[in-house]
Amino acid sequence: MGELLARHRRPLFTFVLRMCHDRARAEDLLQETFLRLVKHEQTFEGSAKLKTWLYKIARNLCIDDRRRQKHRRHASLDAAPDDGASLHERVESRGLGADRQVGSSELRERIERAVEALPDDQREVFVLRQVEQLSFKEIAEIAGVPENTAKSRMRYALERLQAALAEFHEPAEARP
Amino acid sequence: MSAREPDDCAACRAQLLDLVAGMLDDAEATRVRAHMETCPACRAALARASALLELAQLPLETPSEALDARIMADAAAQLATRKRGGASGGAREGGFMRWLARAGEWAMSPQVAMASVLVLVVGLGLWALPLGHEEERAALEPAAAPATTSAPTAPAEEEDIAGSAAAMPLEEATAQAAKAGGSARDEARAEAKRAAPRAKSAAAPRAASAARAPGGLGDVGADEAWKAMEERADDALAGARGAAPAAAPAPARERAAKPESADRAEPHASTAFAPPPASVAEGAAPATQVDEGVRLGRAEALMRGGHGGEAIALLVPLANRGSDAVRVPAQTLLAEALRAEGRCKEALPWFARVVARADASPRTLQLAADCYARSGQPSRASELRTRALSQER
Repeated sequence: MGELLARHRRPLFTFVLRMCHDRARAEDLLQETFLRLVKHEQTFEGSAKLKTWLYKIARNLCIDDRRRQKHRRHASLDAAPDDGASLHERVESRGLGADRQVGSSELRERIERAVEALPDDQREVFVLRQVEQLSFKEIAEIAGVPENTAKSRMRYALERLQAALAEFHEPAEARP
Repeated sequence: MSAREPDDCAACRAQLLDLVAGMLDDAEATRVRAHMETCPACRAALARASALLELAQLPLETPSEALDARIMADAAAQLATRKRGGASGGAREGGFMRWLARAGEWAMSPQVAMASVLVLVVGLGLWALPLGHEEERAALEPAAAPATTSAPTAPAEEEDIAGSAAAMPLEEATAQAAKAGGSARDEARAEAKRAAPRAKSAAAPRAASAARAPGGLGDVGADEAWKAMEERADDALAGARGAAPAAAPAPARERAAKPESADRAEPHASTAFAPPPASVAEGAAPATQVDEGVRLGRAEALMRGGHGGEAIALLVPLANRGSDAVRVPAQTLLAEALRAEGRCKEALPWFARVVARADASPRTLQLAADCYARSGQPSRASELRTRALSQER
């Protein structure tokens, strides 16, 4: 269990955080993911990859969490931070982005905002592909959609990002 | 030639993102790359698409260290429960075990317990049928014996009746006595009349246990045994009314005391949201750490499922009297659950305990700060937020 946790905690946490936009809830969901893994390991089919199974559990929990958040009536620190900061701003303000290799903070911010603004179904495909380098077959299995649908969602996500970063690309386009 | 042929620049560029994202099959990728070699503009577009993918690489985020400990504790508790085959874990997996668990829960219900006691008392009363008790026999009306057609065959010897009656229902015992005739019949009917009202009384369990006590029916003659049983039953009855005699057997007193201690085992959750006084905190503690771990996990699951009230009820005993390993996480969860339910004022004492610890997590500090802010203590909230931020850095 310790080895499994060490191997998957960061990518899985990144996925969950990107889906729910809140660190505390992401930690709760990650904890619940591993708990369900232990609880239902006897029903795990050897044909499926453990990683795919883990992401499937995490994704379902994220969907449930999203529904709950929608129905939550009272104002919550979790759902709406006092300062209304974006995920990017919150992450940056907590000093968690120190390892990022992007020189321009403005560009980084633009990318973060663009990723955050993606529709959920596109964002989950994009994150699974970018973070875990999962194949589209695996992503399709996790999302419960045909492989071509997963590819289409990835394409739409990239087009949106491309549009969001258009002005940063213009100088590059001018280069020979 | 289709619109997606790679020798067409427009079609080629439409596939650039697919190419860099690895969405093209080998044949399509080869065609697009072949076009790139002959078209500098498309090559430049490919470079831009590749740069986009590179820029959009998402950094890996790191969860808190405390999360690892929580996950490992969850896993350990779950595995321990499964090994035990307890009702809360592995037993629920299989159909038979699930049924067994439900049957166990049903068997522990108060109604079933009362019914069991009633049956026990009636059974013991029949088992203790006295032989040759003249006074009882004279008090009975001779014509009162019911005649039944379904009674089993009566034993030939009268002495056998009393012995065999212990293992059968009241009606059957009476009928058997009627068939056998003679004094044994009267005795059986007398016992039946005596046993029924006694079973309804609050002292019935004690009377039964007193009758089973050492030196009871198995060791003395029938008349002496009957008298002894009556005396002990009377003593037990008096004891149940608050005037237990010194002569009552020790085991009977202990049995009578048990329900009171059982009542104290689980305090009512709704009365204990604030840290309790010492007298309450000294109540019965949860059985084992594994049980506590399971309860903690269940409470967390309930919280996430939106059942905050139930989670709170589970957490209160753990937060008050859990073992060292469980108490702090239980207090933390309880505070969070109360806060999530919009009961910040009740959550504050618990948050105060948790944030007093040096190892309080940034998340807990933030939640506590939120509660303090909502409760009109902005300076305390600000202080906790600052502490949370400094820890995260």
